[in-house]
Order: sequence, then C-alpha cells, then structure tokens
Amino acid sequence: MLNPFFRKAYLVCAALTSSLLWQAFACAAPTINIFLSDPSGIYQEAADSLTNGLHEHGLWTVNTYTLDRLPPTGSTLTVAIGTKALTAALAASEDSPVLSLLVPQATYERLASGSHQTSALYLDQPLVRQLRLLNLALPNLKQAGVPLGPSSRGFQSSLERASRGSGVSVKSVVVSQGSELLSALSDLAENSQAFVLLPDPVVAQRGTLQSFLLHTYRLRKPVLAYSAPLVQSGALLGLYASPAQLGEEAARWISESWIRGEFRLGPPRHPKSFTVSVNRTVARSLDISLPSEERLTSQLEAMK
Amino acid sequence: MNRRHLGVMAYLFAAVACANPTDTLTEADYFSEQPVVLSASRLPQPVNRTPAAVTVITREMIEASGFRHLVDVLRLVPGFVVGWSGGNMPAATYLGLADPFPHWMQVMVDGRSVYNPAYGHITWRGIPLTLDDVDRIEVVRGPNAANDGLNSMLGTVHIYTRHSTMTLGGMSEVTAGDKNYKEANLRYGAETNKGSWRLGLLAREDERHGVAQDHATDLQLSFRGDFQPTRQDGLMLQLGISRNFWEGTNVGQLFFDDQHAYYLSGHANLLWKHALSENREWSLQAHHTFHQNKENILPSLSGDYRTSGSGIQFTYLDISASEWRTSLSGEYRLNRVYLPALLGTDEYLEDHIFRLSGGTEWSPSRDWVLHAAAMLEHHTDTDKLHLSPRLALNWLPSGEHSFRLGVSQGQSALGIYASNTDIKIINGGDIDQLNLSTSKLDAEKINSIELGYLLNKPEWGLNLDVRAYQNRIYDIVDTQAILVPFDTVDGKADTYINRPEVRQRGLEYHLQWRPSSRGWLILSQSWIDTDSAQETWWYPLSVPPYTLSLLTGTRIKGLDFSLGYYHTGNFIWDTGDDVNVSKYNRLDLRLAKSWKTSDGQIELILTLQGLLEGELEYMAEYLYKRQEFGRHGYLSLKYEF
Repeated sequence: MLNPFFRKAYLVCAALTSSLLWQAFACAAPTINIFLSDPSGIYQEAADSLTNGLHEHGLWTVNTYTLDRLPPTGSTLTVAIGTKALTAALAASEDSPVLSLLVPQATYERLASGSHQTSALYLDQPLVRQLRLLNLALPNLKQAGVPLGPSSRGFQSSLERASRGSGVSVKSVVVSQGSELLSALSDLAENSQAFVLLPDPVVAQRGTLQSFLLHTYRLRKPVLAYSAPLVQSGALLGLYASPAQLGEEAARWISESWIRGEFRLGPPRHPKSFTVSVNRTVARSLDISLPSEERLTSQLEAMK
Repeated sequence: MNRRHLGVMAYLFAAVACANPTDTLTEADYFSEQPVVLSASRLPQPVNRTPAAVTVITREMIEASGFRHLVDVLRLVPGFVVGWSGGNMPAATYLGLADPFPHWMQVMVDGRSVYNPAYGHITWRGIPLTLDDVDRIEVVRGPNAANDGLNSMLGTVHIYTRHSTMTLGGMSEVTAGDKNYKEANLRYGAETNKGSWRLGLLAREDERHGVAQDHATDLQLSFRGDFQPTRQDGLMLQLGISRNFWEGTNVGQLFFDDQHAYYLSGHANLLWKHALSENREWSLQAHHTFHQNKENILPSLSGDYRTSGSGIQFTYLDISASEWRTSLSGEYRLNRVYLPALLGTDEYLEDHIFRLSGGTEWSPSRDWVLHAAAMLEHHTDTDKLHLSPRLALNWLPSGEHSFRLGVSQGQSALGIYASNTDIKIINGGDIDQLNLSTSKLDAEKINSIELGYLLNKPEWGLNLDVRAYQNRIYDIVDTQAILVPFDTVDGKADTYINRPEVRQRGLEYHLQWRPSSRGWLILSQSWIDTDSAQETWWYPLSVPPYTLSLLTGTRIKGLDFSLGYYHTGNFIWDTGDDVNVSKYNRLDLRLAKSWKTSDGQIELILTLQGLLEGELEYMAEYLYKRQEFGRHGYLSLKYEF
C-alpha cells in the first residue's frame, strides 16, 4: 500500500501528465478549413455533412469560412465547396493542400491545372456507372445516344472507355449551338434506344432543356440525367450524388488520407456514393417497366 | 480589406470576366431547379392502356405523306374518307355520314373545339393552322363523348401543335404546282427568359380540279407563345386569323355559276397549367373562335353567317396514386349564330352549354386497367340534359399482347341550324318555303361496343392495333316533306325529323412496322357493314364499305423517299338530290433531299399525287363535269435557319 502522501502526489502527477498529453495531442490534431462558396443551400448541406463525418472519424479542428472571410494560409487542409470557393482557395493558399468538393470535373480540371497540392471529389458520376445503370434499367438497350456541346465534347474519349467498361455501345454528336440540338437528337435516335444527358451549357441550358425533354419524349426515347430536378422535369432516370452524400464521402476520404502527420489525398476521383431516381410517370407514359430504385441501386453497387 | 483579399477578389474578377459563359459549368447546372415539362402536361397513356382505339399520326408521317392540306392526313386513319367539293372545300368523315356537313366527329386543336356551331361541321380550310405547325394528331376511333362532349360520336380528332421551343429560328418555304398551286409559308420563332414564341404566315392559292369554280385563296396568320412564369406554371397563348376567298361555296352545294364566298375566322386560346406536384395538376383554358361567311347561295338568297364559340374549362388531374388516375372537368361554352336567311330571324341564336365530366382509371395490377368516364351536359338551345358514359377494360397478359373491351354512348350536337331552319324565297307576292323546322330535335345518338387487340413486338419493330365494333346509331336527323299552307308555290317544304336507326359492324386495323432504322411502313384497313331501317335507306350508301391506306418511307443515300396509296370502295357523298359515287385509288410519291448550310438547312421536295388515275371526289357531276383529282405535281423549296 502506498503512503497517502505518495498516493496524492501520484494522482496529481497522473492528472498533470494526462492533461499535458491531451494538450499535446490536441495541438497535433490537423486543422481543416471548410471554405464555402455560400453559407447556405447545397454548400451548407455539404459542409454540415462533412463536419459531422469528420467528427465521427477523428479529432480534428474544423473551421468554417466564406468568401468574405478567407481561411488563413498554412492550414493543414482547405476543403473548398463550390466553384467560387475553389477559385478563391487556389488563389489564396498556394502552399497548403486543397480538396475540391461540389465542382464538376471539367471545371476543376480547368481551374486546378498545374496545382500539385489539390485534389477533388468530383460532382459528376463516372460515365461507366451511368451506362451500367441504363443497361440495368433497359434490358433491350443496344446503344445510347449522347449529345455533346462545347463543354462536354472533351468526354468523347471517356465515353469510349465507359462504353468498353459497360458493354453499352455509345454514339455521340457534338453540337456547337442550341439550334442544332433537335436535329442532332433525331439523328442520334435512329439507332439509339435512350439518351444520356451530360451537363453542358449548350446542350442542357435552361432554354434548351425544355425542347430537349419534349423532343426526346416525342421520339419515345428515355433519358438518363445527372440531377434530381431533371428527373422531376421529365427524364426517366437520374444518377447523382447529393451534397450530403458528397460531404460524408469527403469526410471518409480525408480521415483515410491523414497518414503520419500529413494528408495524402491522391488524385481526383469520382464519388463512390450515388442516388438513383426514377420518374414513374414518364416510365408509364413510355410504357417502360422499371425495377425499384432500391433494386437498381443495389445492382449498381454490386458492379462497383 | 487587406492585400490578400484584394488579390483574391482580383483573381475572382479576372476568372469571371475571362470565362466564356457558355463554357463555364458549375454546380448550379446540377442543382438549380428546372422548368417542369412533362409533369405539367397531361401525359398520354400508352396505347395499350387507353379506353378507346387511338391512331397517332406523327410528324414523320405528315411530312412523308406529301399532303398539302391538313384534312388529307386523316386518310391515314382506318375508316376515314376525305372528299372535296366543287368549290375546293374539303370534308372528312369516319364510318360514313358522308355529306358536306359531317358533324359526328369532334375536332380539337390543342384542346379547343373548332366545329362551326351553325352547321356543326368543320370548315377545314378556314382553320389558321399549317401542316408545319402540327406536332401530332391523335384520332380516337369510336365514341369519345365521355371525354370530349357532344359531336364526339364516331370519333375525335385531337390536333396538337408543336411547342414553340421546337420551332426556334426561321423557316421559309415556297411551293408551286399543277392547277395554279402556289404557296408561301413563313415562320419565325424565338425564346425569352421566361418562354418562347413563334409567328407563322401562310399564303396559298390553288384550283383543285381545274374545272368549274374551284379557285381558292387562303391567307393565314398564327401565333403561339409558351411561357413558364414559375416552375409550377405553364401558359400557352394561341392567336390565329384566316382570310379566305373561295370561288365556290362554303354552304355545301353550288347552285349557280358565280357563287363565291368571302370567309373570315379567328381565334384566341389561352391555357394555364399549374402543377400541384409531380403527379397532380389543374388547368384552366379559355378560348374564343369566330367565323364569318359572306356568300349568296342563290342570286336572291344570302348565305351570310356570323358565328362564334367561346368557352372556359377547368380540369383537374390526379395521377399520384399508382393504381388510380382521376380527371375532373367543368366547362361552360356559348355558341352564337347569326344566319338570317336560313334561320328566319335577324337575331343571334344562342346555345349555352354546361358540361361536367369525370373519368377514372383503376389498375389493380399491371395486367388490368378499368376505365369509367361520363359527361353530363345541358344545352339551352334544346333545353335537354345529355349523359354520355363509357366503360372499358384493358387486359395486358404480357408486354406484347393486350386486349380491350369497351362500351360507350355518344350523342351529336346538331348545330343550331337543324332546330331553327326557316328558308324561304320571296318573289313579289309568292312565297316558296324550302325548309322549315317545326320542332326541337333530339340529339342523334350512338351505342357502341368494341373489342380491341394490340400487339407490340419491339424486336420486330411492329405495332398492330385491331378493333372490331358494333354501333347502333339512332335518332338520325333527316328531312321529310310537310304541307305548308302559306307556301304559294307548291304548298310544301322540307322539315327535319329524327329517324330510326342504322346498325354497323366493322373491323379495322392499323399496323406500323419499322424493320430497321432505314425504313418504315404504315398500313390501315377497314371493313364496314351497315344495315338500316327502311326510313334511313340512304345511310349505308354514304358509308365506304372498305378503306385502305399505305404509307411507307425510307432514306437512301441522303434522299428521303415515301410512297402513299389510298383506296376506298364505292360510296356516296350525300349532297341532297345528287347521287355521286366516289372512290379513291390514289398513289402519291414524295422525294426530298436536304443540304446543310453554314446556318441551317435547305430542303428540296418533289411531290407527285394521283399517279394512277383520277380520284372521284364528291359532287362528281357538278355543272356536268367530273370532279376528278387527277395527277398533280408540286415542287417545294424549304429553308430553315
């Protein structure tokens, strides 16, 4: 048995040591700055999910900044949510790593070309997953038609790879202005059983979306689109990741990348998470019998 | 603001300023809300789940047919016949009652009924609508009064025009052809932040037969605007006006050499659709249509008329439940007719129409669909309440085969003319009473039962739609001679009465085959057997016992080639005392070649019609000359940009 004096001294020392250790550990925990394009809407939704995920996966110091209050330089990692935040972060923090979130692949590649310390969790779903979903939903599918515009024309080689990876033949046509779109769709429709709509300011701008969806509907060809609002507007299928899904996946990625006191993010990548949605009204109108969204999701996940 | 902030702001400004807005893709493109397109529309059902047989004439078929007039397109539907009188005036009818005023068929353009309330018929040439405007035509074969009200007795023709976003940019087309055919067609469309619009102008001059009086000119102006003020609301506004001069007649028969008609019609149609959710919507439609005709039927008898039809309709549609789809509709319509020479009054006669209709579709499983619908309407003209019900059952044992059993009742609006006629010629002290209505007539009625079969073989590119039916048509309006004491010439006049009945049995099919992407074929046939009571012996004569139409198209080395063949058995267009046997045996050919330009497309189109022999059109012996539609050629040059 210890002398009471030594016992007290031991307890005090143990408490002091624990406190010092805690302090030391806390000081070593990385600081993550979340930089929002706007402190609301999809950006806040992604940020909340990211913050919650980070706290679940480890002890981090998480600070949130917006365009009017830039994150300090020298932080361990800046997560830029949205195109404006990424643009500003790249300009401000040349030395610290930046992870891009909620930014399309094409935009990220244009903004971040030459930056070595950056990586991205793209907003876009991988093309091969899109084609696989179309194949699962439409068993008679032989070829998918893909109208491309000035922004999305760069996807042509990716489409060819995705075609090989999915077994779905792809035919694409590039249009340079909105007025060419409808005749391009009619040409594509000759041998295609469905269309894949990719984001492009010419192919899918607000003014042409209406005519795009009406025209495909009258051609009796279903459309796979890249967002929930497009499915609500008349696309048969949607494949996308929500801001919350992207925030959660980014948190997992960040925690897995913290290795020996530094972030090793690796190259940009497409999200692993996704949501499948179906417009049943359109399905019924086109007389297409579709599996449930849950079944399509599980089948698609099994193909990862 | 420190230097770092300034640097970032300058970078942002430069990035934004330098970026080509058409090349910049942001997260907003993924998440911003889009206009509701199809959810705001009343989505059509697949044809194998409809309560009635529906033939859809697509834009591709319209273009390939090479027809110059809208009404001719109906030849592609089994059981339909189209006839043209001396005077270059068309009439179309389904399953018979081939007379100059066929009124047993409803015709609607974007939901607006276009029948002429004076006679209850369609003035096809006077509708300010070009073939270029039309997106598709859905023809309901069989009574559809439960949905579309009186007049939808034998069928309904729903014409849908192209959404204005489908016609952005400019188009000009000039056509010249045989029999002095000249046509210029201009169209321009553009879009704004909230919508889009187009304006069309058509000028046409033709002589159909090249004999007697059939020189006609049409000048038409039309507008369509589509606006999306909010994400849930869609507005469509249509305006149109047609000015026509027809050396012939617009009242059915030619009586003298110098007969001619000046015709003016116009319309406004406003449709507001509001999406309550993805699967529920309401719509409000208001429209007004007027017709004015200036014509002497005889040198001493004017056929001038002015009519109008105005209406407002509210419709609610709910397809939110997977098993149930429901629609409810209420409508008020006012028809006004001023026809002093034939109605014996200088006042406008009015018919206030109140309609309530509802329909529901119950699909307890994927294999079965049960439809029930009814229309209840009251006409103040006859002070009668009419009920038009329909019940139908679809059985879909597989995706390939489906069967339909339907029973329905329909009724016809007679037009204000039939119940109020008072035609007399006063020459000095002599009164010759020609026609005189003596009582309010009952609506003509039909009871119909049908069995349908549809085959869908996508791997063969084949769709087949077969319909067998039996109709009982009764209370048919006919003329009967009566004694008129004040008639000082012969003491007689014709009055209108309801006759007994006729019975029809028929079989028809519509086949679409697209064996490859290079070519397609549409084939329709119908066989109709009509029995009549003795009093209506004339009716079966006006029914074509057999019709056939074939349209095929292909693309070979950039050349669009299509061939159309149309045939009917002998039948009679009933034109009063004349007995004129008509039949078609017509072959049409169309060749089109297009070239891309730097800003658009140029298309050259050659159309040859009537390659086999003269088509006997109605009023065959007008002025002792055969009214034959002989060989015609047209050359069109079209530029779209």
